[in-house]
Amino acid sequence: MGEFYQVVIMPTGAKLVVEALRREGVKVVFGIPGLSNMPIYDELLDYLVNEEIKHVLMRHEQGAAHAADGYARISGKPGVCTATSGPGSMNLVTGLITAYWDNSPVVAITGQVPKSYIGRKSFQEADVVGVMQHIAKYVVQIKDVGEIPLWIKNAFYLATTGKPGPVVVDIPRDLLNAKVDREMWPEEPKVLGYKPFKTIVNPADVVKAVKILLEAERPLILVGSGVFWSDATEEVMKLSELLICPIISTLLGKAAIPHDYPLYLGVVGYYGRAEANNALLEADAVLIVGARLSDRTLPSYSDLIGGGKKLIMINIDPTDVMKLPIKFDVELYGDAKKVLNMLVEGIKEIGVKVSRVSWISRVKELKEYYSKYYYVDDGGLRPWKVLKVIREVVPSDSIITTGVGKHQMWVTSFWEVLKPRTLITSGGMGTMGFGLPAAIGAKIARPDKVVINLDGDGSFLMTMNNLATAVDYNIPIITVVFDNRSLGLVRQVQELFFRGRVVGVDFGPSTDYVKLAESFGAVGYDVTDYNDLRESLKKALNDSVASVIRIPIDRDEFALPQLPPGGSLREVILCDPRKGC
Amino acid sequence: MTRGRVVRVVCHYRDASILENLVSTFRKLLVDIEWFYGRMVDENGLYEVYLGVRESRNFLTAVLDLSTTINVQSVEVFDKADFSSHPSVDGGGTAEVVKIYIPRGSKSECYSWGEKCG
Repeated sequence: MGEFYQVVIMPTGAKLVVEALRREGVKVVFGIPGLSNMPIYDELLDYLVNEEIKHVLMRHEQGAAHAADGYARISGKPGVCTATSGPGSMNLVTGLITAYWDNSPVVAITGQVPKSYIGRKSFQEADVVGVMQHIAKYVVQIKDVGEIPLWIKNAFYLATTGKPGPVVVDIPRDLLNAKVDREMWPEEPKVLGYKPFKTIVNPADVVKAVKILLEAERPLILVGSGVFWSDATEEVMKLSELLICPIISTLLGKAAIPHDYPLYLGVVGYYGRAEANNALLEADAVLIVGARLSDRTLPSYSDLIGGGKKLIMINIDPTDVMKLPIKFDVELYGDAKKVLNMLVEGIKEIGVKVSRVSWISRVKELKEYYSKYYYVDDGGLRPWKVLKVIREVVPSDSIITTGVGKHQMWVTSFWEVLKPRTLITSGGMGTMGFGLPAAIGAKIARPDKVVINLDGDGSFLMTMNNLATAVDYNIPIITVVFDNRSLGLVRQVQELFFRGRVVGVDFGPSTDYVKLAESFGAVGYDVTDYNDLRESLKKALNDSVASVIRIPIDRDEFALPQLPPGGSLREVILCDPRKGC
Repeated sequence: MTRGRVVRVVCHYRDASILENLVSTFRKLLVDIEWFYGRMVDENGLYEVYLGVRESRNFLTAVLDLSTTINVQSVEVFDKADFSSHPSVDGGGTAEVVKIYIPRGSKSECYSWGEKCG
């Protein structure tokens, strides 16, 4: 009679990582394997086979971080990416700082060289903590295999609470291979020296804010990304309706407001709509919701100070407000959704009906006046009209991503968001190459939606290698390339502010976008007019693979309106000065 | 006396990156540090770190950024500090002196994760 042995399989650190991800509800990991995160992949295989977690092999780690970011922005859940040590982890940097600047919850798991190799300039060694601590919300290097479950839990907690942001967990390879006697799964996160911001609002301040808004003759709501992240669109709209109050937004806040709402005036700021800039200048009371008033939104603080303007600020982070050289009449700290609800209830309680006939009339007048500068159709493919055609063809709930460059500014001014959370773009960092990988992440988050990357040629070429990922994984995203054969926005700045001394920005005829798409197995379209665009887009919507639509745009086409660098909202440039405007 | 302000940071030590973080918060805002020292105050890795910081228009921003840095419990600002002199371990000439700066009862501000404290 043989002897029976009970085989006990002791889990490795890598197993703990993957199981911890599963326990956090992770459905997809974007990444690239290498020597130092390979044990994670080895354990991940079982979860892939069981279809508990999906893996998407990106073509560059920057793309993995952007894809995780795009996934997070569309799903509202943390996006996860992984990279190996050294170049792999360092390639995440651009993607992670992009997520950090826009408060997007991303968790990055990086493999590190074994502990005994650290500090010896070992093969593919990089100081992940040293680098990432400056470009992420937090970075932790694991010291002991037993810490892994707690720190994965902590990473998700930190990424999603307070101001969301990217968190990096760096794990030496020997710890990924080390075994533990038993698995210990923490029920709660534990991070010493961290307190998520609270919603603490004094009822008297709510009353004061309500009074200001009701008594104002020209009130205005400025919506920032805080409204996007707290899903507070409904509350903003309700408040606007009750107060008969126009809305303007930051670039990231644009995604929170349906543009068919008649009181929405567009994005304010450096590349903002002139009517939005003017409304901010003329308003006598401004309610700012979830915006930190960056230099892109408000290049000159003097536009908001003085003139007796009453200012109310809603912000999750009091220190954002304390840093500003602006005195607010009321400061309300907390989650935008909760605080807006308090204001709505406060207004309902008072029950005062307001009439804003002259202010609404003025706002309409501004919209009409500036339209004549925007919607010029004098031949060629005009960006505003290209966007109008796309808007007409694609479903109202289509998700749009963008790269960075002139096309992003055209989207800022002319893309009509019809459903909340259907536009994602790199606002704070202005990262070229964001659009395509972010679209991959967005499509995986919402496979039921049409996802379109509106990109520029310069921006697309920075991460277009990830088109291979879209094809391999049957992710039928559509990329529209505004092809002006140049780094157009830089060119525009040289034209306008460097005495027309154009240098280092023009591309040659090297790239054939149709052939490029086809070489990856995607479908390519080259359009020459609006009808062509319409038909190509309809075909692309029915394509089962990714597609690229190339639209030729005149190199001299400016992205306007814009302000001079550091200029006032009063100094808006509306039309091309080279044309005698 | 230090020529600027004295900042006391109470923080939790996991690894030495917390010290890098404290210093780089000032560096990123172009604020100069004249001196700093710290010590562990309990067995759980709670530290107090003192920094002598030059006056700068970015000073408040740096303090606020520090007060929302993960692992930092609170940040206090003092208007002045006196120092006491101690011979260095190596002894020797009069230049071999270690100065320990001690804030003197002039705390003006304290911040912790968006709240004013103390």
